Amino acid sequence: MNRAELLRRPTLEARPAPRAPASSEQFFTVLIGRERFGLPIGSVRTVFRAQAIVPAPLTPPWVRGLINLRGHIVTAISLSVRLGMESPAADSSEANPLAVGVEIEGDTFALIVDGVGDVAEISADDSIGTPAGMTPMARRMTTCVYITPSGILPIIDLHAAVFNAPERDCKIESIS
Amino acid sequence: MDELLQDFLAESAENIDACAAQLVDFESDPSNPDAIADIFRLLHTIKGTCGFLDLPRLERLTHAAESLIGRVRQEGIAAPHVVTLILEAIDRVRVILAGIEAEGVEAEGVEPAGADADLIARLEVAAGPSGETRSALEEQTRDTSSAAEIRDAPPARTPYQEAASIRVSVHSLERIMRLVSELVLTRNQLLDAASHHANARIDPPLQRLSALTSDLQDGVMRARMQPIGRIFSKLPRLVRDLGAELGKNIHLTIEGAETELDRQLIEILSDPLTHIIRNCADHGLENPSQRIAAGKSATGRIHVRAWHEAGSLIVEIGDDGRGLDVDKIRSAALQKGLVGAEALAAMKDAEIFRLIMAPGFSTAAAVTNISGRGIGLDVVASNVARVGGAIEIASTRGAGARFTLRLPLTLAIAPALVVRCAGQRFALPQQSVVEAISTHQNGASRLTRAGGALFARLRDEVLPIVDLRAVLRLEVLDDALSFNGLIVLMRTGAASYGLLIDEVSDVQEIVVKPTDKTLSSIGAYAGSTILGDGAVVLILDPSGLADLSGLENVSDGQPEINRPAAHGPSNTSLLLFRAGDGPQKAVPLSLVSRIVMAKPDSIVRVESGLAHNYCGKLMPVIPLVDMADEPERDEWAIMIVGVSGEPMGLVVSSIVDMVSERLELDVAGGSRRILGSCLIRGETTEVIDLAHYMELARPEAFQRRHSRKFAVLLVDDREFFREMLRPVLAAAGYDVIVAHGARQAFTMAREGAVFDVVLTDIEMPDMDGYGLAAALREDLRLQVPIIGMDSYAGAGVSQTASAVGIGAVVGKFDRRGLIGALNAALQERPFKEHALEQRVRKEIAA
Repeated sequence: MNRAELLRRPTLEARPAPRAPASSEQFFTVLIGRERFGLPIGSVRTVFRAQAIVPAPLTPPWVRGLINLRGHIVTAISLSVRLGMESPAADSSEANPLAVGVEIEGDTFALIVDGVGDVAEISADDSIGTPAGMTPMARRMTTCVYITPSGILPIIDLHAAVFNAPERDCKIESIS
Repeated sequence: MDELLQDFLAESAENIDACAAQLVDFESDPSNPDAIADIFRLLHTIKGTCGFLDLPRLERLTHAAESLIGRVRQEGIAAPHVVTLILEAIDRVRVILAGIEAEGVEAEGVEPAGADADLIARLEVAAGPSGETRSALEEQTRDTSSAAEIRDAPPARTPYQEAASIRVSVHSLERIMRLVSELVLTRNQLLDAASHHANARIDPPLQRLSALTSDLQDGVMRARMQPIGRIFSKLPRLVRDLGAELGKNIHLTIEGAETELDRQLIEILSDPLTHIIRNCADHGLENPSQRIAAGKSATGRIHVRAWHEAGSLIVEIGDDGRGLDVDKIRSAALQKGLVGAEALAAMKDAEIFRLIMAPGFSTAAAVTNISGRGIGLDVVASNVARVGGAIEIASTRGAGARFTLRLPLTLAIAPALVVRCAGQRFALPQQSVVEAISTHQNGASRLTRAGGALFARLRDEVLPIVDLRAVLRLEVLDDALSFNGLIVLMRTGAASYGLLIDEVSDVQEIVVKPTDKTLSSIGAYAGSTILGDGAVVLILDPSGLADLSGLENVSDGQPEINRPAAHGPSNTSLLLFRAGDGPQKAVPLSLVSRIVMAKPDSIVRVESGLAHNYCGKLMPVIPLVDMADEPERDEWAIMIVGVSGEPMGLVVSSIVDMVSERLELDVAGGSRRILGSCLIRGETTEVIDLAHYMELARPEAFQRRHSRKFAVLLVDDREFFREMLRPVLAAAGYDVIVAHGARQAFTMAREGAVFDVVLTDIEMPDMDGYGLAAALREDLRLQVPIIGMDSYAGAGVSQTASAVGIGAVVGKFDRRGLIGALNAALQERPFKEHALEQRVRKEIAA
């Protein structure tokens, strides 16, 4: 499945993830800053331009606010802030950012990204775990890192990215 | 799961609830053959279906239970242990049913494993012809005709024959509701879009669509409605078990079981209801011996009543027990540090009652199994508040307490106020909104700051303010006191406060969508919604906002700010003011009900001194400053004191500030006008003696050493006399409460009407004055003086009158004698210390 196909998928309709052979998995790649990350494809529902994000006061800094996604209210989360790659102020510059709709534990969330790529099919053998060089924040948000022909691909832990409380000592710095 | 089995489970659960209620009915009235016949029939139905569905364990058990009920039915007597046995059997049936539901498999043999042989054996023994239950006497009295009855075939008709209704799964009803919610939203958006472009072809069908959508919404709402009887039916059993556990006889009456409300709310209401009833049974009702000693019947009464009122559901739970003990609540609240001493002293009884719903409150000396674990009522209060409801508590010492729950009829779609604050819109559930008022009145801000917190003066209240900007950290106001916006008066279960916002932009019906975990954990939001213009707004949670801003136990204008412990409860909020030259003056803030600015020409000279035209009434004022010294002044500040009853004003030059300080009087006052002086912010400050000025301004009230007017309960069945006597009494300085007859008077007294003396006609139909006096004295243990009126009374009190506690009998047309008797009766009362004086003392002592 490529990006064009994904964009045509019916919005917010739960569909079982396509069963890939046990040894390989599919990931939806997104760009955050200039870096590539993978999202578990079974959770991805739609890609859209976020309109009119309403701020939600008192939420953690990576919660950009609420969006009306075709009659559904979803919480928008800035992945760049969540991964500690950008400060919240720098992230809010774009009014209608690109967002990926993902379903986590029955709720839909919009992950704000800087770009979307293709679906990557990766063999489980290419995993290198979470390398020691990553920041603690990035490590907590990542399930594992794969080596692909086009570079390394960290896979985002959606549950951790959306629900887990931050640790106080997290500093905003690049993970590279 | 098999659809048939599922239906059976649902229906049986209902049957069992109904069955338990009937059993308790029967126990209290063993001569009621209808109740037992119903129980028999219901159990029989379950048994019959068990056989059909191949549930042998259940079938054996219900068969044994049915036999025993059959026995009881034929004998017409349910011994207590038989009732217990039957209830035990029904409990077992319930467990088995729950087990089947939990298994939820299509396989055969779905019944959970377990042995009922012991229970069945006991049921059989009790039901058997040589059963131990039967006394020799019963054996003898049993005649042949009743023996024949036992062989009667059980009635073949089933209890549920309403072909007019069908079972619909909750799931599909919820789905329809969701779709309707979406439809309402879409309709709103369409209307919003159409309002910008008038179109003759589209508008008429759009109007029709709009009306149909509203009808559909209403229809689905109704389909979701269920009679509250669904949870009421569990109560008889609960009360019976409580009675057995506590060793109390309790009689439960239920009214309004047919009242309908949203099923979602029924579920939310279930726990609070159970808890309040436990509370009534455990804390409210006395032991039988105590009740008899108090002159009540040994059986305590609990009543549960439900009705609709103005778009809300009201559930009232009351008992005729000892009532709430104000002093006990006071000391417990103090001991647990729930409220400061000075705030407590200023609280009215109703506010003190509300403290029992504060977190961590429990007055029970011993922790019992039923209640008294210090959890519960606060949870009840917060659960009710979460759904936009409120609880009121009324209580009469010795006569019982009453809890009144007010709930919205539905949760899914609610009217809301859309407000704007710092450029963002928010929705406020209208259920909690009382009114919205401007921050400014006559060019002056209502806002004021004391002890780092904002307050607003509103009529007679000093209202704590929640600054929405600050709570949500939207932005910081440079100068909140000069902020020009709106104060929305919010009332939730535990708190009432003013929410400071910019403006109200709309009132809309909104579809409440629950928030996901990232937002619900914050506590400030009750959900979110999409407005007609497609924009998302957050719905604010009124009680959550109060929690976030540290407001606790705030009610009726007696602010109690959650102070840090180090601050100590001994701080007193003081109002600082100036009166002419001389040192700065202070008065405890809690004694000042409000401050008004008055033009010199609104202060007039009357016979007894000066008076201010206040709300159309002349209120006595005392100048603390020589007003003639400043003839050019165009405004004076008047502090109004006298919280309930007769207000008076003190004219001062200017209000300086409100401070929260430890009040330590350094020098005892040399004059009657001041209590003493102290240093506040390095400046010598005189704390004035309000009681002294009270005495000057209201000598007659002060002479009675009472800050409140005496209230007379006037009871007369004839309108002519009521109308004649009411102005006579009012002119003599009494507040008059009128009852049209003895029964109404009794009901008013029982429900907590406050009066100091009863003036009743002797001759009345139905219940006469003697009967009323006897009822008030004996049933309600009322100690107030009772004066009788007779058309042709001579001097002296008849023996009949004094026997029932009537202190005097006067002639109806003898006005002078009437007033004289009232004054005499009230003089005899052991007066409490002047309430105001008492409060001043407490404030100073603190």
